[in-house]
Order: sequence, then C-alpha cells, then structure tokens
Amino acid sequence: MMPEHWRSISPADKKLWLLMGCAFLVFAASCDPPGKPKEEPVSSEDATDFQTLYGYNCAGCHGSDGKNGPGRPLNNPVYLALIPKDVLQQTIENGRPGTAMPPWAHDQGGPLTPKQVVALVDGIEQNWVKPMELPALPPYAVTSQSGNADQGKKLFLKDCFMCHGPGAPIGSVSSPSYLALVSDQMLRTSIIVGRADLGMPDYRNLNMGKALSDQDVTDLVAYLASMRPAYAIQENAHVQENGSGQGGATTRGNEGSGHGPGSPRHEENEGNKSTGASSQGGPK
Amino acid sequence: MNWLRKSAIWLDDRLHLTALYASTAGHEVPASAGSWFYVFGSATLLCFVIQVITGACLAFVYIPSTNEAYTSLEYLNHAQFWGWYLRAVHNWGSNFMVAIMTAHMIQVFLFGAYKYPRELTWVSGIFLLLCTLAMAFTGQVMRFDQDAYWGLTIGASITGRVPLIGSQLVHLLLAGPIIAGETLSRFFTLHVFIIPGLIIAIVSMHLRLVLTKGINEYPKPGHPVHKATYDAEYAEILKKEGVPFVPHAIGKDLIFAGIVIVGILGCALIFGPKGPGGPPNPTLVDTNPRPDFYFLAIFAALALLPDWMEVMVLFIAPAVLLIFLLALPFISGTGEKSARRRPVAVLLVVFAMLVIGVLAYMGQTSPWSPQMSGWSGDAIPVEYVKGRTPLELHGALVFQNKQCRNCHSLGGQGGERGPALDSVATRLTKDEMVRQVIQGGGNMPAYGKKLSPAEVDALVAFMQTLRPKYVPPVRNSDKPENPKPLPRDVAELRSALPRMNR
Repeated sequence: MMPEHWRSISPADKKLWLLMGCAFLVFAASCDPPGKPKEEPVSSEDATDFQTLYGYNCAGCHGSDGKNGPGRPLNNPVYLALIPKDVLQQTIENGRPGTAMPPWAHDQGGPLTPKQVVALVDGIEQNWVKPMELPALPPYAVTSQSGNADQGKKLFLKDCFMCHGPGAPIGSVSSPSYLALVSDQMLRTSIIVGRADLGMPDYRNLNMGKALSDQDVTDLVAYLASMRPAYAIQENAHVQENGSGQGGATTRGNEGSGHGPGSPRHEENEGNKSTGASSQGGPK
Repeated sequence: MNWLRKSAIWLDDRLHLTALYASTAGHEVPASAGSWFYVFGSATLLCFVIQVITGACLAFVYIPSTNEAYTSLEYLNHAQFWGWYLRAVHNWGSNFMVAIMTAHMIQVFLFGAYKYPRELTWVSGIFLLLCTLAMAFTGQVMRFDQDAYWGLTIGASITGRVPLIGSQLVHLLLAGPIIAGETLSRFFTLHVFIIPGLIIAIVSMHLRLVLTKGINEYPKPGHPVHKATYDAEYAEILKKEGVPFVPHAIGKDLIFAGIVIVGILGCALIFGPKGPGGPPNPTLVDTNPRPDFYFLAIFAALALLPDWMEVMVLFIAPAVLLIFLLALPFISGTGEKSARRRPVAVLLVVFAMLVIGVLAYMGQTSPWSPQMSGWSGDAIPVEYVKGRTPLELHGALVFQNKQCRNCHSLGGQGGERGPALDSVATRLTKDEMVRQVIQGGGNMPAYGKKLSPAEVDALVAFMQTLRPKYVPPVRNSDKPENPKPLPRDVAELRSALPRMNR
C-alpha cells in the first residue's frame, strides 16, 4: 500500500528522494556505530598529549594552567627564561630532594615514561608563554661566589621586610618551618622569578624598584639559609638519602600510630610550636 | 493438493501437533489477563532465548583458558567482523533480562499471582531468579578482566567465611585454593552447560504450571482468594470471559517483545560491549574494579558494611531473604490479591527498590574509594591560594604531595572517602588538626611517621585558612578570645566596674 501523497510526487522528485535515501544509507554504513570499541584504548603509559599529562600529573600543585597553584608557577615568562631546558627535564625526572617536588620518571619510581617527560618539557615550551628576553637575568644556579649573609640581611630589611618580615601581611619567610621545607635553589628561584600570579614582583623591581643583581640574590639566600634551624639541615640530609615525596602512597593504616609526632630525631625541635601536642601522642 | 493434505494429517496423527497447539497456545486465559502488566514474563523468556543464541555464537570464538580468554575477547572486539556487536547484544541481553525479570517478579508480587493455587509457579520463579543471577555472575567471570578477577575474589572470600566448611567450599568454587586456569574452566562449564540446562528445565516447569493452573486474572479489590472457592471462581471466569491465548492475549506480548528486541539491539549499537577492562592481573593496583549493574547494590552494601554487621549481612540476611521469598505463597497464600488492598506489599516493594536503587547509585559512584589521581591532578582552588603566606602555600603543597587530596576534597574536587576540608578550620582547632594528622583515627591513617614537624606545621597552617571569609577559626574554649577572664561573681563585677554604681 502506498501512501496517497507518494503517488502525487512527480517521478523526478521520487528519484531525488531515492537518491538521498541511498546517500544516507551509504553514509550511515560508512561511519562506525557509537558502541564500537575503539581500536586500542590509550593506556596511561601511552598518553603523550601535553594537556592530558599536565592535567593528570602536575596541575595539583602547579595550578590548572601553570599558575595560581601553591607550587612554582611554570607558565611564567621570567621563570621559563631562567630555567635551562635540561634542568627542567631533570627536575621532572628526579624531583627536587628536600622539597615537595617528587620524582616522576619511571626509573625513579615515578609514573612517567621518558617519552612523556619529554612531551611535558616540549609542551611547556609550545603551549605556554614564551620566555622573556632579559639582559640582566641572574644565572639559574648559584655560581662560584659565596653569599654574604650580613649583606643579605641588609638587603632583606630594605627590600623584603615590608611584606615578609615577622608579622607582615604577606607572611614571614623566616619561620623555621618554612625554611626547613625549602631548598636554597628554591629560595633563589623564588626571589628571581617572584609570583606574578599572587602579586610578588620579580628581581627586576625588588631592589626598591630597581633590579637585584646576581650577588644580591645570592646574599639574600645566604641570609635566609643562615636562619634555617639546625634540625632542618639534618632533615634535608635525611630526605636527600631517600628521595622525597610520594611517601604518602605507601602509608598504611596503622603506620605511625603509637608514636607522637616527635620521633626521636625531631626532639630538638623547639621552635616548632604547632607540634606541641606531641606529648599527648601516646598509643591509641 | 490432496497429497499435501494427506501428509499433513499423517504428520499430525503421529506428532499430535494440533493437540499440542490447542493445549498451549490455544489455552483459555481470562480476557483481563491480556493486559500490559502481563508482558514481562514472556519478555524475560525472549531475553533468555536471545542469550542462548548469542551465547552459542560467542562460544564459537571464545577460548575458556586464562591465557587466551582475554585475547579472544579482544579478537572479537577488534578483529572479528561485527564481533563486538555480538558481545554487545549478549551483554545488553543480560542487562535487559535481569531488569525485565525484576519487573516480572514485582508485577507477580503486587498482583497476588503467587497466591493459591499458584504457589509452585512462584517457587520455581524464585529458583529461576537464583539461576539468572548465577548466570550474571558467571558471565561476568567469562570476561576474565579486572572486574571479573576482583568480583571472583570477593565471592571467594565471602564463601571462605562460611563456618566449618568454608575452605572446602572455596576449593569447590575456584577448583583450587586460588584463581587459576581451572577456575575459568569451571565457570565456563557452569555458565554454558549447567545453569542454562537448569534454566531450561525450570522454565519448562514454570510454563507448565502457568498452563495447568492458569494465568492469574486481573485482580479486583474486594475479591479475596479462598482455597475452598477459588477453583470454581476461576473456572467461572474462564467460562464467562475466557479467550484463547493466541491470538487474543498474545498481541501485547508481541508488541513488547518487539520493543525489547529494538531496545537490546539499539543499546548494543549505541553503548557497545562491556570491557574487557584490563587484564586480570592482581599486581596492577591502579584499578577500580566494579561489578555489572545487577550486583552494584551488593557491592555497595559490602563496601559500606561495619565490621560487626558482616556475618549478619553476608550469611543471615541472604538466608532470611531466600526463606522469606520461598515461604511467601505459603504464608500469605489466600486473601486479597489487589495491590489496592495490600499496603504492606506496596510499601515493601517501594522500600526494597529504594534500598537497591540507592545502594546501586552508591556502588556506581563509590565515594568510599580514594581518588588516586586527586593529589596530582586536582588543582587547589585559586581562592585557597590567593593571599596565603609562604608557609601556608607550602602547606598546600604538603597537602597535595602527601595525597591528602585523594580522600579529602577541596572545592568539590578530590576523594570523598574523608570529609571535605573546605571549612575545616571552623570545626577543628589547630591542636586538634595536629593530633588528627599525626595520629589519624576515625578511618584515617596516622601520618605521624610520614611527615616532618615542619611539614605538619605548614599543613596545619594551610588548613587553618580553610574557612569562609570573615568566619574566624575555632579556638579552644579554655583560651578565650578576650585575654581578660570574665568576672566570677557579683562582688568581682562591682570592683571591675568601679565608678558606675557608686
């Protein structure tokens, strides 16, 4: 039975309709139905897409687009000008012992293959801001000259005290706990790069509106390092032996219970008020 | 044409096909049973037939060995022409079968169809329910991926807790003390030969009972079942409004069968097969095994169970439930059939569906599992970073680096195993935070050995900032905000306010 209106269509139109119908069928047959399994699911080891890798492994500390995270903002033209590419790669591979940066390379116990590390380094170069051309940029690593803590203290009182002195609004950098948790290199990089995303200027404006020199930065770091408590220096040595970070993954439920916070090696920790509760930490 | 007619009569004389037709398809049913509510039983049977056909096709390719099961599924998925679709139809057929069977059971329960004289129809149906669930479980094992492996592990460890004969039962289930090659062969035999055979046998009995005891008439409120009078009443109904099943009552069954077939084929086309999801390797810890949807509720119940309820929920509850289901037609074999006069029955169904639904939802989302990529992938919300001191920022780093985020969410991202910490500073004082971090407790591991004092200091400093704007952090009640102690009595108050009263 043909519907009435089908008969009323002219033969030429019918041909057109049939042609369109066939075209649709061919189109429908040529594309895969949505339920068909994808060829090979991309396993976490095969992913080399920068956004995927960064979003899965780095965004937690460095911020979702490389800034506004608690860790070093990587999407920063001064930082990218400062850090040599090979150091960036080594940092991802081996982490930074003594800081919160864990190692990521497979052979260091991390989750990333060598290919993925390279993909991250290249991705940072390609996707984010370009490094700035800065003529008087202090070198990344500390050079041979040693820092003068007294000189650094003068600089600190002049240039940093307003924001980072004890009780200042931005917060002290001389608190023993903070200094125990950061390395000299991290302090150096922080002073040079600043935190544009959080409002701290970089080295070009830190010296009362003028640039800090390489020597100035070294002196400042020497001054801050001189305030580091004795226990922290021991502790860093301990951290460096074992590699840092990622310890939490292996934490077992009963670990640490029955011990106060001050396991013996921390006994001399007087400056750290918040662990005053240690005396209460008896076995459960 | 005469010879054709003659041979047909000869065949019928030998095979009694006309009599078979008259007693099955042609049997009289109450006209009221030709209702949309009565389509689920035949649809369940249809699903079973689809499962048998697709299952037989899959068995041509599937190799039940630990080395090759996974590969043969990959072969079906990617190499075999439309092999993935065969798997998808089998998978969706099972989903539809369990769902429609549940609907059938609810309908029978609410329509009082299990009452006199159809007790054994219900009992055989309960055994079919058990067989179908056993098919679902063994079918999940056939996939032999991570879900299968861990599902089997959980099943075995539950079995192992049966008193006295636990280890023997595990041995029987797994064909050995651990999951190995024999385990898969055993489950393959169960899934392909034994349980389907049982189902065919019990379905035959189930159908025969439907034929001999008749299809339940559409219940009317105020017509209770009495053992003495029901048979006569049913005969009267058949006499007055009885119609042959074919062609009068089968129409809606056929339409629904069409809908089910389109549903299964369509879902298979759109959503595809399930898995296989990763090889069954117990050394891969970065896995999130989850059972198929019909077991999600059990999965959730087992995950959320407190210790002291384990024996009760694992052994006593299923036994009680099974005994209740089997005894139901003997407990309430007479009386009202209509759901309109059976509020307890309706509430029971609503309650059971709510419990199963909520548990299945929880099983699907499994908020109790830590989110293993939270620490590295979920950024700290920007408002918790802005305006923080260097120490607090470093505390946020400790928070991420020590994987606190895997269990505690910030800004709605991160694990849900522990409480969200967005406003933790309004709940815990600094000292309480230190104690909780170091000693753990309340399901939280102790981190005392994993954190240096400086890290604890930084972490707590960061957590102290986690509170709504303008809400101060909580303080100890023995440390008043105002350093001056309050006056203790009136005399002291007088002296504290020197000039006013004098």
